[in-house]
Amino acid sequence: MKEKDFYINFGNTHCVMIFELLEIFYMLITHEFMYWPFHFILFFIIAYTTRGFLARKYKPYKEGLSRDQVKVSVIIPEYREELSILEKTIRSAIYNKPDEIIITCDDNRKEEEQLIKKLQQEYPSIRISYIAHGKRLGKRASLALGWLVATGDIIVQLDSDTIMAPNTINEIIKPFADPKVVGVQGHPLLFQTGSRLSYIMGQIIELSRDVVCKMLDGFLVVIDGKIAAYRRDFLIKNVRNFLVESWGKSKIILADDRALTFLANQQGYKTVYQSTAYARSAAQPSLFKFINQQLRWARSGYLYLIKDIKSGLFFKAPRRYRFQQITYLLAPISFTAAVIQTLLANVQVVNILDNGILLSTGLYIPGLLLSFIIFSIGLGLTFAASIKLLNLDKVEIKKLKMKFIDIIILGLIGLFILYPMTLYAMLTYRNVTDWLTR
Amino acid sequence: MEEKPPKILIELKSIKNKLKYTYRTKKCKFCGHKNPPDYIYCEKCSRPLTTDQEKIKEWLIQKYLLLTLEKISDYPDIVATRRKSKIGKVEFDYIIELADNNKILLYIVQEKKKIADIVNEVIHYNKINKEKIRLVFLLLLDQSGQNNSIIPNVDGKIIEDAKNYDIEIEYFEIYSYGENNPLDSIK
Repeated sequence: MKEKDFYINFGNTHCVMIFELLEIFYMLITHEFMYWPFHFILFFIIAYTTRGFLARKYKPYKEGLSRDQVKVSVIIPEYREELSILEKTIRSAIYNKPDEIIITCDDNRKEEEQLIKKLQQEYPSIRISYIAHGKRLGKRASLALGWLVATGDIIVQLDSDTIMAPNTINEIIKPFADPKVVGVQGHPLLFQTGSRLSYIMGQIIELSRDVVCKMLDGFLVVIDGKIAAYRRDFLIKNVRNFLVESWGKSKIILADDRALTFLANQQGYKTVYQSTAYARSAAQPSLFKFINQQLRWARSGYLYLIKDIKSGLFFKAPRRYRFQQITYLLAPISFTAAVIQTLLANVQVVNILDNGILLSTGLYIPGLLLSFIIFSIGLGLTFAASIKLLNLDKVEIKKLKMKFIDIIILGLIGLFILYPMTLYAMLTYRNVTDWLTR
Repeated sequence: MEEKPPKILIELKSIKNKLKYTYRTKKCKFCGHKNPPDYIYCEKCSRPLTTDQEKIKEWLIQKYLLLTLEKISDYPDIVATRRKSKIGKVEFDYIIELADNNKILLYIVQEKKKIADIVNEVIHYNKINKEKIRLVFLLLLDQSGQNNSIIPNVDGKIIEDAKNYDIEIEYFEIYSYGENNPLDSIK
């Protein structure tokens, strides 16, 4: 599973499992068999508990490679980024004192050049280069050009809207003391830029990714491009593979982060997570952009899942990786089965419950309203339980200041938008051709 | 109340500002376009406006690397890259080591007389090492086109010799775009 898509499961699962829970109670009370609650068992009990349990064993690298042992280049691929955010990103890189910063600009805006000139004058001791190639290369080629130009042994790649904490580079290079490590995932969280809902959903994804990365430490599914570090040697050796990668007859132009992680895992290297290398990235400013981003991620997630299986990587990967991938593959299928059975069987359960309430209290509640009440309570309960089971960062969850209504809205978005979108992404996974958010 | 300056003074000030701006612009040596003073590359033709040799060198290398990336499917895998690295007695600006014993050597030409010596040095190297070498001379031609004589300056026999030792010579000239550019014909 592409960890980024975790929310799709996370949100959807909540929507249906409460009805499944209700049905389980019904079956227990009446001793009448209705169905097997696969979705509930597989995605709530097993998946969440396992992830949470395995993630608890994770420990970040406390010692390792230090700055005096290695030369570090920061590469920031840029395309139509808001200048104020780009400036913050570059400044955050400057405060981390790398040996050089390379900004590869794919849109050739004059304002960027002026901004970079300003920063060059302000910080003459740090080498800040600006590559404007006069044509649109795309993210992969821009990155590859940056690798070829860079002089560092370690390349820290930042999205143009990712702001590093002051000690991030020192932290992210530590795992490279192990010669088998070629890629390190930093710990990105989000900051709000527009829509509150897209920020909350995005942040929950990042917090869930934190758990999944901890679980998969050593063999990650994806080193998210928001903040990643690689050995330059490894990148250089894979320039060709990275640029000519195709699926059937079409060239894969997106999912650069997924491609690099795939290559590293396939070549037997370690891909690790350094949870102490913090950075904050811009959340999608609108719900529409967020949904488009999820569609892109889901598509690339499925594409690489198939690639994993076809290439044999899936079979030689650790069990926890396979577990992650299987739950990802089965999620929409299992969820569809759960929705169908909920619609068929649950109506009956809700009616019985409704009659029970009417008989015992004399209060008539319309079936639809009762369903919605159960749905809402269920969302609240399962959301709280999920956070506990997965052991999500409670401090960051608190910072989201979520209200009960937010949880209901998120559930509805999960059910009516993200779930159908996941199915659509499954069917159209080959269309990994458009960023959809720029 | 503050007195308004006469109209003629305002107009003169405006003309002065315009002149000042014109004076400050950086004229492109290649296309003649007037660029804002802080520009390194011409906003019209993208060629360098600076005389800083290091910047120009880096720009030339980047341009060639970009070309290499665009044709990456034609090349074997890259194994390593090196900067300022020596082959024999010659220091190359950038070396790309490729799989199957292939190498791309980038040399930024500053003294045209040296070209034959460099080719000879690489031939000598390859007599022993037997690699497949692409020897690339990066040239930044000036507006007058005086550097055009570089290629004919190299003895045809040396080029033949190089070919016999699996050395392919390439000249990468940065001016060579734009329609009807008289310099294009030389490439």
